[in-house]
Amino acid sequence: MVRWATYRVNEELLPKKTLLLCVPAFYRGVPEDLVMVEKNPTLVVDCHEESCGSFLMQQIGLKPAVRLFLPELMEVWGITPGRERQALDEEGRKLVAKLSEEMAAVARSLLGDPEYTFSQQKIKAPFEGKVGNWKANPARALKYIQIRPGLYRPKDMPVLPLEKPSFRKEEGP
Amino acid sequence: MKKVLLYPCGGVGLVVSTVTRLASLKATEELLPEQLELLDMHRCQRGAPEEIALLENNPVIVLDGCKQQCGSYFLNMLGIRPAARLYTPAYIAKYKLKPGKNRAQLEKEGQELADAMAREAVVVAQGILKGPYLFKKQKVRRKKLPCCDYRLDIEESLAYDEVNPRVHRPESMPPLPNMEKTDSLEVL
Repeated sequence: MVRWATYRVNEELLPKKTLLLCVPAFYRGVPEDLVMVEKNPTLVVDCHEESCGSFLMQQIGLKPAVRLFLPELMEVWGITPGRERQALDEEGRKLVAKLSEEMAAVARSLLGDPEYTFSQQKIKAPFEGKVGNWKANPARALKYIQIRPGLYRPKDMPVLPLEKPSFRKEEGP
Repeated sequence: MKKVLLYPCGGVGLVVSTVTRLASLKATEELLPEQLELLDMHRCQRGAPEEIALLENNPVIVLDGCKQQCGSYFLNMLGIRPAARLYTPAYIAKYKLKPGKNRAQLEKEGQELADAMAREAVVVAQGILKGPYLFKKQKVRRKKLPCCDYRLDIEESLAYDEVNPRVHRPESMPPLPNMEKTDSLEVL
């Protein structure tokens, strides 16, 4: 579902303004995948408690700008992921539509706010990977604070435009 | 052997990644559901004990989508040698099928390409399952993983031998039953 939603954001909702980080290519060392994650704010979508997306960021010593946490969003929206993996069923289509709009809204808020100050990050070098400690919690390690259900940012990262009272007023109730 | 794993490259950037993913889903959900299982690389890297046990205790067939061969690289990074590797560009060449342009949902040719890969993955898996196949358990390397070494020649590192133009195996891994001296799909 997240992959489908990500394609929709990248191809339809925010073309040329978003890049997809390909995790296998990152581990492979494909230069563009290393550079893109250092130079741009990253939106991580974690599908479940295991938080594999956040773990990647923690492992390479970078902080995402934002984290969307799908289980909480699904609860808020009252949508399930559906049952099909090869193609989208009706429930899946609803979730992809809703999630992609949420991702695009967050990305637009970053892109559209001149006061959002993102500083380039640097992957810790030499970068030696490790298999994660299953008992550790990447969300805790990244010191996420909850902005609203399903939306988080690391405590040390810049305040999101979505957090500002002025934005909330524009966004409406 | 009772179970064989399939590991699609897992990428998101290129359409060929979707081809490997769909091929793996067709093989595991429709063609050989009881004996094939998908490997989730994100959960392996995260340290999920049952995913790591799967990888250590069963032969894995990796489906590489493009010349970067990230699927093979990832296994090599974890110190695991695949039982076999299926190489998508070789299927494109053999069947003259293009992956298409739609990453989310493959077009007709892309689906046919995925079908061809799924069928051959099943032939390879059935050979391993019926044997004789002397699989030795492997151990996942957990620390100091050689990440991001773009210069590494992964085919050389895993010492891939060509079983047929589309299927390779590390020379140190057991021969693939019914595959080594013939073209499996033509036999079928």
